[in-house]
Amino acid sequence: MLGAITDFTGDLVGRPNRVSDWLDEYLPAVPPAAYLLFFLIIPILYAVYISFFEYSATTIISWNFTLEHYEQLLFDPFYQGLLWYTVRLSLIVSAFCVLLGYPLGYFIATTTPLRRQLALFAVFLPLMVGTVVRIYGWIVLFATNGVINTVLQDLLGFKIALLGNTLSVTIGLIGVYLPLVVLPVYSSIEDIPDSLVPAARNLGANQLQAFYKVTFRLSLPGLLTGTIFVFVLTMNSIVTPDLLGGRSDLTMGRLIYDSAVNGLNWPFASAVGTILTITTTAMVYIYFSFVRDRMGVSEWD
Amino acid sequence: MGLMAIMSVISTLLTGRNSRSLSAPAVFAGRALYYGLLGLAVSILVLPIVIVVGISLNPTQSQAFPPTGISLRWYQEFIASSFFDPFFFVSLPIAVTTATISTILGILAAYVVVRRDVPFENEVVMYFISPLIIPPAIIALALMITLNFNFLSFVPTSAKLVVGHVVITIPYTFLTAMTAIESVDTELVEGARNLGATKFQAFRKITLPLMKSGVISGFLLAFILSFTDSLVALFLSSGSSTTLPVEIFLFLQYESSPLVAATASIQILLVLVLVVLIGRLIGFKAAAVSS
Repeated sequence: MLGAITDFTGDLVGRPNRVSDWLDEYLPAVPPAAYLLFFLIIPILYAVYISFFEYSATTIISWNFTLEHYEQLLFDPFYQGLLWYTVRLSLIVSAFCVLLGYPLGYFIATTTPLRRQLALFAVFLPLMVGTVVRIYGWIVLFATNGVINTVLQDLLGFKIALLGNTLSVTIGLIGVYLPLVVLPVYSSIEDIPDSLVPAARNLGANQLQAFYKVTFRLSLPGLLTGTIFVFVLTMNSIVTPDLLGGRSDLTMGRLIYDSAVNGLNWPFASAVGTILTITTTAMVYIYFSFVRDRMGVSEWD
Repeated sequence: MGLMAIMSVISTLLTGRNSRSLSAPAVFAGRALYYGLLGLAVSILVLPIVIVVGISLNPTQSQAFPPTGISLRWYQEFIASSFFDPFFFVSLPIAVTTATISTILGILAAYVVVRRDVPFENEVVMYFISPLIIPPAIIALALMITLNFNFLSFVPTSAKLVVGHVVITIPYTFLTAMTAIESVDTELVEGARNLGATKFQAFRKITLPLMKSGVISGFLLAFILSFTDSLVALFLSSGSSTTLPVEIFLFLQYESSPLVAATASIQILLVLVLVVLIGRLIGFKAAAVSS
């Protein structure tokens, strides 16, 4: 009875400090918190832990401490090249996602409601439809007897190899991750008060200056979020480079998949994952600090 | 600084002296560039889907686009194909179970974060959306290794898939539930409490019905993400418990046929219906922002 009133008096007495009060207050959040602890945090720590042990062909992990996986990954030129390829691919994909995603996000934020609904649908549906389905579309388009090559054959009489190279991987990844730039950019441009750009124009800025100094500056948080998502996910991509790329388009993600699922070398796969995550986090941090310091996103929270 | 200098150089090149506007050709060029990039972006998003649906209508083995004729042959073949079972007996039940568990966990977490006085609230929110920040490949690898302990050998593969999918969908159900609970007026809840309802009764009779559309949207988002996931499932699938996207992935490594297009089109149709439903319930913007 009178629950709300006792809550109120409870607040007057002081913040809950006994265990039962604490449980009463936070009990509903215990199952989800425990779930993530057991099925996310602990598994990841365990994976990092086993990356320091030897691989054994019979028991997968033999419990002898070693740094050989890390030595191999950091000093073997093959794996250095792999990491460099992955970083370069992610940078290119992120850059193109900005180039294509920003105008689309701007369009969605500034157009009429009906067009906005249609455009949002055109962005949201591909995001939801799943990677494999969209990659299949690119395969059919790029294949030796695919849509583009059939047209080329009919018109010009020759075919070009479009599938199985870095270009097809790049295009596929841009298509897969483009919505992740469009949506946050749209959201942050929509939040800009409508009066700011006309005000800048009144004060003497031309269209380009008004866009750069008002719209672009204020949409930086959205752009930052979007590019970080694209970069991180491209660094970890497996399915797209596997289906659209050739043998040489080996990313760190594919290396994880190959060594963990096909090779059953879990310690090595975990070491790859650890190196990949450290590299990704470092690059995201550098990028984040650069944008924050140089571009003046000061009110970032 | 550097970028700004370049921009100002460009803008002085584009304008007449002391002019408040860009020159007409500059405006025209800007528009052309803008619409060009816009068209490219939309086509890179929509083209693969249109092509998949188009190919699935081909009457023959050929994967021609536009299709050489209109037939539903490949949809008939889908029913007898090796994609039918993964679709209806693996992916569908896994997605429903995942969405149910994930929605419940998401609401519980969101309820406490929004309604209770949580210390370190930003950090707690970060914790619940951490599966969004940690790359799925890492989550999948870690779960695969951990769920393969000998004492967990009794757990069926499908249950492991549900475990993994719940992890990657919790941020979505959590964020949609947070928005939904925030939209419920606390005075209504206090009113119910003053009239004698317990905290749980107030939640079940007031908060939950009022946040219904948010809850359903979160459920549908989780369903779609689980159904279409090809990354976590790639690590956790095995044998007869292989989800549809992984089945397609493995198939595409060796061959490609309009059968895949038909299967993919059915998946597209399913997602399309659910996406329209989400748009109706909370609008694409809310759904998009929480993704």
